[in-house]
Amino acid sequence: MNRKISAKISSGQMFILLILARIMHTMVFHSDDFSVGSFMLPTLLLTTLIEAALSLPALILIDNGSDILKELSHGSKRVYAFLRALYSLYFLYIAAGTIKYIAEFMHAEFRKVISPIAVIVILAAAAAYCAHLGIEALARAGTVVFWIFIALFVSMASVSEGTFNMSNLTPITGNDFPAILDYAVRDLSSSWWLPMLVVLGTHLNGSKDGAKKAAGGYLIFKLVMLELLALLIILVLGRFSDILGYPLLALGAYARTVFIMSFDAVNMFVWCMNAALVCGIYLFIASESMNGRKGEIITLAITLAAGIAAYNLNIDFNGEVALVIKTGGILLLGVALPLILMIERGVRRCVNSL
Amino acid sequence: MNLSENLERSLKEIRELFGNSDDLNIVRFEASGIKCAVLTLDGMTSSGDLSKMLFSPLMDFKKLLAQPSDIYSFLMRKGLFSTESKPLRTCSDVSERLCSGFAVVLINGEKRGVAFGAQGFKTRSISEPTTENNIKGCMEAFSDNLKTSMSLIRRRIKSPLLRFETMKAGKISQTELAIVYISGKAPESLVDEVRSRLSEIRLDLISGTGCLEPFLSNSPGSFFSGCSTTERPDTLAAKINEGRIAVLIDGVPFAVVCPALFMENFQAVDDYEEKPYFAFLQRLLRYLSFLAAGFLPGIYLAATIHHPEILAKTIMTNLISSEEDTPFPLMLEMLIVVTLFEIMREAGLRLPKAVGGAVSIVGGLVIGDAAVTSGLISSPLLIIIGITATCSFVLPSLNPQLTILRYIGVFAGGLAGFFGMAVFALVILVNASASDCLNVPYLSPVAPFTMKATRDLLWRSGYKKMQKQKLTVESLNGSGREE
Repeated sequence: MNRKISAKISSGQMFILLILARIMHTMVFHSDDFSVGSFMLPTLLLTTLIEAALSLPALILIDNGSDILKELSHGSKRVYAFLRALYSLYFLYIAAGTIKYIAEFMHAEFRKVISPIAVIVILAAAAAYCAHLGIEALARAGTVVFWIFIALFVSMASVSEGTFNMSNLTPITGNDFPAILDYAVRDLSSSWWLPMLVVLGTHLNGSKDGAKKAAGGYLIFKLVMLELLALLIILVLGRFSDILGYPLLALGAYARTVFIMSFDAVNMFVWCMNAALVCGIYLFIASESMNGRKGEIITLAITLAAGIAAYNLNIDFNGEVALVIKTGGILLLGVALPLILMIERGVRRCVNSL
Repeated sequence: MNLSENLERSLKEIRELFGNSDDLNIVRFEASGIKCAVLTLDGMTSSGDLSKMLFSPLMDFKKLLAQPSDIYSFLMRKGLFSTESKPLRTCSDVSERLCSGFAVVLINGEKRGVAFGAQGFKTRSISEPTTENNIKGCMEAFSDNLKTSMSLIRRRIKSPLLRFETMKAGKISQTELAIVYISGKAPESLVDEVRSRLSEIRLDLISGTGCLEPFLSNSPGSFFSGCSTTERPDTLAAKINEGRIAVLIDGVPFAVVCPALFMENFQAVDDYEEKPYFAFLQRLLRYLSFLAAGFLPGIYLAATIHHPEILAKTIMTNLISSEEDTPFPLMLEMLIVVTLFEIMREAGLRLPKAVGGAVSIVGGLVIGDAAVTSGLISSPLLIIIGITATCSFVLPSLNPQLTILRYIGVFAGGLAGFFGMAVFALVILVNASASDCLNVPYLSPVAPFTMKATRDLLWRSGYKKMQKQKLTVESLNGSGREE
């Protein structure tokens, strides 16, 4: 049951993997980093449009059946290994950040349950095991986790006692411009679905426009989901969200039934499931270029070390340096490299036609 | 070693081959003055059949049989003694046939022998299913005898498309296996794959279905099995009608069916006898039972030890008050009770049926009641285990997995709360997602999702709808093709 390099996933499964990664980021989003307000709603639309534009080169190439990295390396093993290493490093960084976020979240909300270091170790080990089982297994499990999420949101919404306060929906003014810019940059810096698409694109099955379907589905779902969540947070929590650590968790606090007083732990259950799965995807991408067990062990060791170091040194994955690394990685690995290949192809075609 | 023209020499070779085993019977007789011998193994042939089929005709026609070759051709071609008669040339041919219950005739002056199918060994008669009980529908189960089991399937599928391919497995046991499938429904590539996997078995003995499953599912590290077993010919007929392949083993009243899907564990024969809405309810209960049997003890520990805030106030206070009086930590208490339950289940299973019931009375009533009364174990915990135990009986096919899930769940929930349960559940989910048998994913048609196949998932479509949509397992093959 070893990882299958030639494993194929459908566009629907690709969409689910991308959206789960995004949900993961949204769940551990900490409102300390920026304020909440009506300005989020148009900003999300704007960033989604930008993401759509940025994804075009990768989508065109993947749907043409290109292995972007192989073609860019022109048969040179060294160049290929270098390009793969860039993706590996980037996703190890993202995996370490995600694990650190979860450890912080557990420490902040469920301090007595388990120590943060144990969280990092267990999560990294589980993710490494999932990555070892391959992308097909992750994609299939992702479908189930996705529906668990939907079920959780629906059940929480149906038993929620929260009320909408329309006065929280303040008009957007010129003063909101810095907040809009900040939120837009932060949202774009979490668009690592673009480099994910480039790497996982080779695993897409031969269906026509598979990458476009996955990306289109992702962008629409992301927009609707984030707009709805933002609207809920604004209307139900308002300025409270500034003092509440995790707005999504706070939303869950309004839901209660005869048996369940608080949905916090239920939320955490689903978040942690998703965290292990999403980290598994990142580790799969990171270890894919390193064939065999050795590569998997190396990625696990790096993730563990990076996660523990990030937690103990309190490395900020939302700070300015992190924003530069994350956005730079997205632009280089998800946009620039496919664009370079497209330009190169165009030039070659022009030369050939002359 | 080839058979000799000298009867005594051939007999000596065969005796040596069997190490002078006491169950080798040799009956000598003369036909027209030519020495002959009939070889059988004790208890493997019917002496009545032999005297009717072989000895009487030979004695009646002995005047026509002047030469050894006359006797041979009379036995092989001219006379009709048995539906199965095979020519034999070597001593190993003779031993193979003898072990399969044939009677072998050797003739002095003739290098060849003749084997007759005169099997007369005692087998269990066709009985009711014991592990897959039902209320309505067929009440027959497979027999230990391969041929009887094959006939039970043939009676249900009266079509020349039903194929049986027999082969031998087991280096020493030489157990007869039969690959069963419907031509045109089971993909030829899958049949080839099964054939080749079975031929690769190098075990000395094939004692049961468990010997074949690892070779057929070929999914090392998988928590669930990619093959299922059934003792019901009607279930097997339905499964091979969906393009699956079954393997029958001589001497085993169960068939191995591959590929198997996780969702099939929640289907029962009676689902197809009742109205779809009732089948839906039954299946829903089975899914809930699976979750309760595998995860309830872990969830209980996680909720009470680590996340009491999740519970409603009344429930929480009741739990706290009942737990206050018990001497053990909750997790240890749970481990003790789960282990006791497993021991009692095992005892009830292994003991004779008459005594088995007493174990449940002693275990369930006496120990349980005494443990609660003496304050060793809290009553809510006993209720949880009671629910878990009852739920685990709903899905006997998943019992081994549920037992392990329960134990891991107790550790995960007890030590790391819902975090532990979440990671544990995900690892099991990904493991199940990675499992497949003959390239059919174990979690299909859910993951990968195949819309067409959901007609028999939770809600069973009506027969009118089913007859319009033909579905085979091939359509669930591989995540690249799902909808």
